[in-house]
Amino acid sequence: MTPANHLNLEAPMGVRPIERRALTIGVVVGLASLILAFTEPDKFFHAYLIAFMAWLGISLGCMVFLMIYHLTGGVWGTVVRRPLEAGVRTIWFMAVLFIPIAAGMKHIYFWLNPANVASNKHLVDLTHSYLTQSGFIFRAVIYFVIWIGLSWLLLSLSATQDKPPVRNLSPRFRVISGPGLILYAFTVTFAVIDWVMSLSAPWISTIYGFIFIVGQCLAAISFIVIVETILIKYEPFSKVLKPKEIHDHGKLMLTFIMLWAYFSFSQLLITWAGNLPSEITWFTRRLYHGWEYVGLFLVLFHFAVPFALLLSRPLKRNPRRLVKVAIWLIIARYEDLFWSVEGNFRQSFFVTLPDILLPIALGGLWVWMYFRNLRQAPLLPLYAHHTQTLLESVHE
Amino acid sequence: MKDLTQVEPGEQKAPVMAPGHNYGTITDKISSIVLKKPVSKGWILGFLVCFVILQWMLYGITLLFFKGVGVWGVNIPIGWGFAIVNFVWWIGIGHAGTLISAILLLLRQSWRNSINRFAEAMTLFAVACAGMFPIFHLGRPWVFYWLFPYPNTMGYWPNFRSPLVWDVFAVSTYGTISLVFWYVGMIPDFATLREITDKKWIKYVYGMLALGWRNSARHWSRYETAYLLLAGLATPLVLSVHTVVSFDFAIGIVPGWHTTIFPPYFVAGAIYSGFAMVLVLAIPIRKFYHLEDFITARHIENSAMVMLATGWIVAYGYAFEAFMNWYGGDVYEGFVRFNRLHGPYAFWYLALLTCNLLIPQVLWFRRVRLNNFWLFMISMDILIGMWLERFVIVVVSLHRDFLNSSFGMYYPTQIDWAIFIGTLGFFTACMFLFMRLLPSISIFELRTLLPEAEAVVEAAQRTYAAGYRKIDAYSPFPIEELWEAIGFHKNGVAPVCLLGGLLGGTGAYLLQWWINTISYPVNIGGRPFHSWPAFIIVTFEMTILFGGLSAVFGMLVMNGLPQPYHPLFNVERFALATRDRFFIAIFASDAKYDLIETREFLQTLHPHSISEVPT
Repeated sequence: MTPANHLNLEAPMGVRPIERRALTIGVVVGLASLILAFTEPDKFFHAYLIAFMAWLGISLGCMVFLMIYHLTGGVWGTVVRRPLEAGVRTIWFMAVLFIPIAAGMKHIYFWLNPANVASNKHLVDLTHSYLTQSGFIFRAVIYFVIWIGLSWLLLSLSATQDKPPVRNLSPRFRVISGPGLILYAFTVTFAVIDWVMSLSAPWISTIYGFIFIVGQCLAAISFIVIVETILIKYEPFSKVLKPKEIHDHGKLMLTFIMLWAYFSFSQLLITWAGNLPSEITWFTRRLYHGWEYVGLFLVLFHFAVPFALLLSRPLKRNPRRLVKVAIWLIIARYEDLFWSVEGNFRQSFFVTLPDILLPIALGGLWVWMYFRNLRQAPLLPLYAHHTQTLLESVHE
Repeated sequence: MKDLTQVEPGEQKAPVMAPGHNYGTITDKISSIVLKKPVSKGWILGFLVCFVILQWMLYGITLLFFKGVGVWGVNIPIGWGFAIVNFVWWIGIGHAGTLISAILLLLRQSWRNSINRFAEAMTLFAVACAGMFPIFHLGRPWVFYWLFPYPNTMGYWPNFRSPLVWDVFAVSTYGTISLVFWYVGMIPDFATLREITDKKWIKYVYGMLALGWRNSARHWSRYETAYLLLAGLATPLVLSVHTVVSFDFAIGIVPGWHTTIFPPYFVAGAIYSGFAMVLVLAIPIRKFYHLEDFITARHIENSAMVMLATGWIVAYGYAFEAFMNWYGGDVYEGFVRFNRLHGPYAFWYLALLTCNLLIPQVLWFRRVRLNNFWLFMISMDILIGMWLERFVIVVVSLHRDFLNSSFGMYYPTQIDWAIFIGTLGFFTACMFLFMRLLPSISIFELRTLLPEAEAVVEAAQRTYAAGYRKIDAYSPFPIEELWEAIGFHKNGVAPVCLLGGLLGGTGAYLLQWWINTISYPVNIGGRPFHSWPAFIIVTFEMTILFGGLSAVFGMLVMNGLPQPYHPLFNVERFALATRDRFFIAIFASDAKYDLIETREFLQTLHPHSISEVPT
């Protein structure tokens, strides 16, 4: 007999209403915003891209943490392995949600129209060699094949661990995760160049990929904190999730806030000090005509305030208070993407209806998918030896 | 019914410490290197070789001081040359020490406890080597203090918009905090050495260094908080130092230097070479001093994996620098790409790629990671590769920039080599001395790896329950339950640290603002006088410096240290508090204290012995 037999490992009934409500919101708001796709296609697709990047970030961020966990181990990961895996399982769904971007490309990417690039010889060359419509779609397919492939490897190996006997698959997980992280870093950077950085082609910033990577991790860990706050009311999380692990997740949030600030500030400082016309224009677009308030908002609410709050040890150990910071950070992540992407399209700062509707629509669908996935497998990988160690310590 | 009792054994990870050790054997084994073992012939020979190489450096420096920087190969356009290459290389190596100590402490990775001490020492000596070069490079090294902001008769102030000034603050903060971190970590071990040695003058030296440390639970409580805070401050500091070094390049607009990925890419490169140096030192040290019990295969393998990971971040940097260089289409940046591959230094660029990217990939194989010889060779290869990387960044970018008419070549002179090779001698000579004179492995932190003593905690709890309040407990290593047991809950170190940090940061910002906008406004490149993005760096560094020093000095002052004499030292057995025994003291000033009753009470705790301490 092991203590695990006493635990109910199915996703609690309490998440069913979330799933239903999320689906309703996703479908209703999605249909409503679909009307805008025809009336105001430009604004619709711009907003769609931001919403897509925001939710894709959580899916991929979950995969990053899962792979980091497989490489390093630690109880912080053992407890949330299944919530992370449910996030990884949404990646194929994001591939489906990418189709509208491919379909609406001409509303998003200025370089598709030869008239827009004719004045810049390098841009003419670039739009013939790299930034082409077929190249864009071909590369997107490759990125998704790699990400879905990685998620499939991780999830199928995890599924084999749900059958007895208890065994240690860590070495096999590590073989996937080491190269997997490298593959992720390279593909996600290329993807971000295609999907976001090319909006201001031929502007470059070599740290751009890193800013997105830490942003995705921050969004994912914040989302995981939200999920665990929901699950902690029910078994098995009410038994296995201790303040120490929540504290660790809080520390991870703090770490990624600091990394985000570090990378973003480095980009600003180097560009500002160089003051080259080809680079600084990216910032001047985003620091005048109302955009400066968005920037200030990011400094305060994507960094300073959550940073100061998360320094507190009691806050990091209390899921009820930590979850507020986590929800806030998900919104702040969206603001950052909004500032980064919409700054290309709008001279001055204003918000349109699609900007509000689309993140909610995609979010509804994504959250519905997520909780559906959470029901697919037991909430703890029961036959992993890490879980066994964890349960023994709980039982003591 | 599922059968869950059959648990397959977990992975066979090498242990952090070999079995069969207790508090006493750890103490003896490590302290014997310093106190008991005779100076071996190998040590003398090794030290002499390093010392001779060091003389070469002194020769180079003497010549440099007499004749000026003309004895180097630097010229226009390559004004930086070896001095800056070596500076960046050494400061990068200096990263692993504090990183191992601080980050791994925060991550509660207990395997750090046996390698942190010598890694920190390595950091200090590497920073010392690094710090020399920019000072020599000033041309008039004797006025280096002009770099600091102080009121002077020349009526001038430093320009805080320049990364070179940031460097002064970053490197000196890093040197100071690393030194303090290292020294604070050694205080309890100095106390151990003080008690073990028989020679009077040695006792005196270590006694002074130990500041009168007596392993009191109250001291331990403040000590642990201060040490943890220092680690928390040192972690972002480590990252900031190489970030600021990267700003030396990236803030300018020289093609090949001005790119936003430089900060994380430099930091990863620094950790890469730092861990390589850790292995280059650890592999021979554990062999010659028979420390395989404490520096185990696990340490070696973990370091190898850190190298593999950081090596890939460096590879990511190369890849996207090259790709975006092409994608961005800047003519001058494009020329750098071409010039690296086909210019006069192409061989060195390819050598760098081979050393840094190609060869270390063998680390994917566990067999290589566990083979000391090959791991040593790969670490050497990475050290060479990272030196070449700095050479390529500094020289290749400078020798051909915007104007064809200002193209040039760089040829290092004999003096360049003498000073560079000489610093290697200086570094290793310092390491030799360190191994002989100081405990190279943290003794008290290794004790924490062993099962804890519950008896003393219980005894302390009973003493407190019996109504005694002016009590103290003594243990050879920090035990959290022990200071809780004697009723010591809040130690006040954290608020002091916070206050110090806030004062340091605010003061630094105000100082920069006042200097560059009010007192000495100079128009440089049209940048605003009040350049807040530029002022953030020094503000950050001073926050860390003042926060860290406040934590340490706050801890010492609140502990009443230094206090070389304490009545407790008169009890002969008390020396064992620094080794493997636990003590409880009830002070005569306690309200409940009564010579006979208290003695009777103490008897009920079943002690080994009871002593009256005359004051």
